[in-house]
Amino acid sequence: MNASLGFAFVALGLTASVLGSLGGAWALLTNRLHILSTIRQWVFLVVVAAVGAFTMMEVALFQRDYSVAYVAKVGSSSTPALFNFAALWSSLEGSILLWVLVLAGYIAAVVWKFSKEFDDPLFAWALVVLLAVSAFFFALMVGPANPFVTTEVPVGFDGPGPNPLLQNHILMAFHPPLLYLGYVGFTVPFAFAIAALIVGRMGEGWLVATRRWTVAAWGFLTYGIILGAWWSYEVLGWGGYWAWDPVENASLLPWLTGTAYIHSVIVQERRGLLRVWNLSLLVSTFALTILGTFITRSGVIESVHAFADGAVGPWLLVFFAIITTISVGLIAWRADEIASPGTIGSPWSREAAFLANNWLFGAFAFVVLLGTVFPLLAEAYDGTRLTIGGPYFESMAVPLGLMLLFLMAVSTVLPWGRASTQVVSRRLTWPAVAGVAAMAVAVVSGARGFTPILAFGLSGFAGGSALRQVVLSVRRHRFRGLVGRANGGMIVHLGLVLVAFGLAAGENYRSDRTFTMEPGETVHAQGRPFTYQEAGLEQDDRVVRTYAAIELENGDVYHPSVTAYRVDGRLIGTPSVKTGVFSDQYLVLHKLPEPGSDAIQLRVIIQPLALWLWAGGIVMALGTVLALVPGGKRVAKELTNE
Amino acid sequence: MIRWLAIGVAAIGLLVFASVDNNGLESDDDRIRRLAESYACPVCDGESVADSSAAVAATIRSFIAEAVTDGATDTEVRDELVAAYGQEVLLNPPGDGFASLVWVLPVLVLGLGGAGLVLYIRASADPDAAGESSADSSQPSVPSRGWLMVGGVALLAVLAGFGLARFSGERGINGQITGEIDRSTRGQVLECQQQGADGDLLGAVQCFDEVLVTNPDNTEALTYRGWYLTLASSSLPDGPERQAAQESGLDSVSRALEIDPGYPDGYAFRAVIMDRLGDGEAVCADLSSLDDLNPPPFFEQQTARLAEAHNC
Amino acid sequence: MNKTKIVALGVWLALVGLIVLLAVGGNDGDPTAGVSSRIIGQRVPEIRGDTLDGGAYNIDNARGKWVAVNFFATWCPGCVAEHPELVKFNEQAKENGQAELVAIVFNDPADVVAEFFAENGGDWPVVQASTVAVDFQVSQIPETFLVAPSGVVTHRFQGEVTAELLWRAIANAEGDDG
Repeated sequence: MNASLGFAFVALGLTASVLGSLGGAWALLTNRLHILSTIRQWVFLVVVAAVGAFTMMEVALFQRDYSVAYVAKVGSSSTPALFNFAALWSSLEGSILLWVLVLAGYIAAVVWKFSKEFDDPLFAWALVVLLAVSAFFFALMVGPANPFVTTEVPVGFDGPGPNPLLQNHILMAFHPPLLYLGYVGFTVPFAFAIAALIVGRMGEGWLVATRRWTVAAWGFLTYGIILGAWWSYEVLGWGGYWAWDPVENASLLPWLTGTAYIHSVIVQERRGLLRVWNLSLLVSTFALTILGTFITRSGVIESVHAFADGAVGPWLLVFFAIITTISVGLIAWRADEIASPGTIGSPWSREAAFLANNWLFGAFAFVVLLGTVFPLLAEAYDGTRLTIGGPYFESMAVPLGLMLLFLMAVSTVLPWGRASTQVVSRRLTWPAVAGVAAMAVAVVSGARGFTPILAFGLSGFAGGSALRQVVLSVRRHRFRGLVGRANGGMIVHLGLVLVAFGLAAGENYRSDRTFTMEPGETVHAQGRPFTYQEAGLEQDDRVVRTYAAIELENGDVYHPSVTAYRVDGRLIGTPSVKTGVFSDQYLVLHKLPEPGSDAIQLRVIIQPLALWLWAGGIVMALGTVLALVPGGKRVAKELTNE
Repeated sequence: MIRWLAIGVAAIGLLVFASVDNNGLESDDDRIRRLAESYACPVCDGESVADSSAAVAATIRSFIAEAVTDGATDTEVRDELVAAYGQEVLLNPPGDGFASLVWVLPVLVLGLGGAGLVLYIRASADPDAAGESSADSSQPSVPSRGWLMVGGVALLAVLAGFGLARFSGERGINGQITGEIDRSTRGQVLECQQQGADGDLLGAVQCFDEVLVTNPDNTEALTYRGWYLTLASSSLPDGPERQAAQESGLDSVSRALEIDPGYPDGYAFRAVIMDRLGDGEAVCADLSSLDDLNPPPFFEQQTARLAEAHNC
Repeated sequence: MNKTKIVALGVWLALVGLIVLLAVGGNDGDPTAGVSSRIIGQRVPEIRGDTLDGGAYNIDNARGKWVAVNFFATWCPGCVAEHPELVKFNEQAKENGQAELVAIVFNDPADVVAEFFAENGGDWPVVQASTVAVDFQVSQIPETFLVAPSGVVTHRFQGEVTAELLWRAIANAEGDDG
């Protein structure tokens, strides 16, 4: 019953989406504008369908209704409630359900927010596009990724539960929804962009209308990515937070173009410039989310992350082809109208800085995409099998990142139009001093090496620039000086600076040593003692957990462990981390005690400034929220005019 | 203006100091980790052998550790691993062949993009220098001189890209630019020993001290440092300086024996030092420990003499 | 033509290239092909050790027959699930004399394994040699390798296998040569 009802909802969603989008398009093309108000009904049905299907699946999960094949795959009587709820999106078909739910939510919000705009063809076309996208995802669920397939299970069957890795930590439940709120969120400005191209209205109106949506989507994506990195570090135990894995890269790509967009769009709002850039960036961001989904789901590129299922791949690829062809075609068709009035006046202007920003982020995205698909390219060319891993991406990302930090510092103080060197140099003095101070502090605390010290300097420079802006704004407007796009944006920059410090310190001054230890032995890493007290074993019907008790400097005992999951035989090391303000002590068990010998191999990583990464992430989230608070527009305009 | 000069000087000064003061010698452990981070675990999906917990990864890590302590160069390690596991074990794509494109293209894109950017801004900022004007004046046209510049930048970018490919393909990403990385600890120790054998005792002691900065537990360095320091101390006049030198030398050797109680050279040298200090019991103790292990042949004469002198 | 249009065309062509690459490249779906591995095409690594019932096993003695090398542990549900298929394969192999089956125990005490086999049947040699997994570069169990009569490793299967899959793979491989 669950399955049939659920599938009925999916079918309803597909029908409503198709009819709404086709009907709307027909009405617009044949000028039957009075029909347009019926789109509201179709949207309502789509929302009902999405919520209904999602609910039916959750009901099935809670009832442990194993007649639904998906529940038999990811459900289990031993999974705790929250993880059971989250199990819905732990595998392919369910994740499409989540996507559709989020999309339906966004479409409903758009209809509600812009309810006065219904007679505007641009808005109507945007809805048509949104419904077309939702039609695609519903079609996936009717076709290759049907979550409501039924099956027969033997009596007494109990499901395996979601992948054990996903049950490790509560925050893991939030990582995919956050990411999806980000990915799917970009569909809204994308739809408006396509609508604007179709209608031929290339002015700034629709940009301003969707501005908050874009920033919100960007915020969700940013925080989703950082949460993923945090989970990777704290829970997975391979000692790092970012592996340049194809699936991770897939989430980074839209973030890169999205970040460029939210900056570049300011130029268009202000001076009507960079229109082609903005359209391209927006289209790229949405297209990259689809491409990213394809990479994650099709298994075409090997990855530790991918939950591959060959059937969905071709559909996603075709959808990607359609989106990109239509978008590029529309841009080419409207090329003449898009041309911006006016030009960039001077290289020392905020417009020029944002253009440079686009260039750097574009290059960054290119590098990440190239590195991710290059193994395929090489294999197609002459059959060689290459691995492109962390070191390659880092060697590209570091110089780009440093340049971006510099730009971040300078562009904050550059005025619109022409700049006078005195004004700019006056504004940059204190930030420059802050940068030198950061370098000095680092050198005094023992840090060495050209690149990291340079990174500290540029981070301090950028941080000083952002801080200066915040201080000025607060001085002028008290608490209102913290809200609004420009000010919230400065707080986000500050958060990013914290992350930059964390990255610079963490990548360069990390101490990573593996010791073979007998019980009672003490080893030293960076002068700190670690004593192996004893080992122990815990087991239940899900896992067998072997742990070692390690005593730290201050007497605390930490327990890194290795867990063997009975479900698939996988061995996962769970690290034990003591977090400090200036460094983390990170313990991983590499080799377990065996019968006959209690010796272990312990990997001790001292990770400097790790906390700053996560603190920076929280600051960025805070800044995004502040940026979305209304009323800051006037303040921002005043500020940038000084 | 003065302000900026001061800021600039301070910044550059700090950078230079930080680069130069950077100990260019890598400890063995650091080198092992760096190498392990640049090879992929062959049965995992892109994890480095440093991070992976697979059995094969552990095998490769041990191989790297052994090779490093045996004195192999980075290139030798790389050749061995590629021969055993294929090119896909390299986490850093090689710098030659088709794969070099992965280095060249980004530099090219960045360079061309930058050149285009500069040209566009210059052209739009100064419409008189635009040269040809096109039908729609809102789009600044790029002067023909500009195409030459773009071509030059493209060529430069391609060359830079290949250079980057060559440089990165050979070494791990955290490799030092000084080129010192191929000197393993063992190589250094041998050099220091050579210095001592040539008669430059204090120089040898200093040489070993340098090794000990990055490898504080290296038993060979500790032992030979202690030995050469004791030798050097005998040329000092009697007094607190000589005493201090002798004690330091003895400490070094004792520390080496603490770390590795099965190190024969340590006992041999300490026995001689104890002999100089006149501690007969200690001499005999060390000689008997030495007997249990396999003493290097050139000690036999010395040990025989010592054993006789102290009636062990 | 407008500069923007030229760029748009170029971008579109690049995208087409990317899409074609993604469509054509990557892994295929033929299950009898198995998964790639460095040791395919190489001589089978040495498998020598004591079996559960005390005998000695050496894979070189099986030259002339196909050998299925199955990596196994009782705590791995996939291994348990595929066990009946292996029993079937073993019976069929004894009948037609074409193949043999050997299991390598991975991180499991001997008595537990012996009890499992006593309860669930199966009389093929079970060797205790965890280090063999390293030579075969096993990443996750169950994994089954096929070794041709010439002693060369031909297939690597990740996850559970069925008797039918193994026989089909053997037939395919022989079809290629014959």
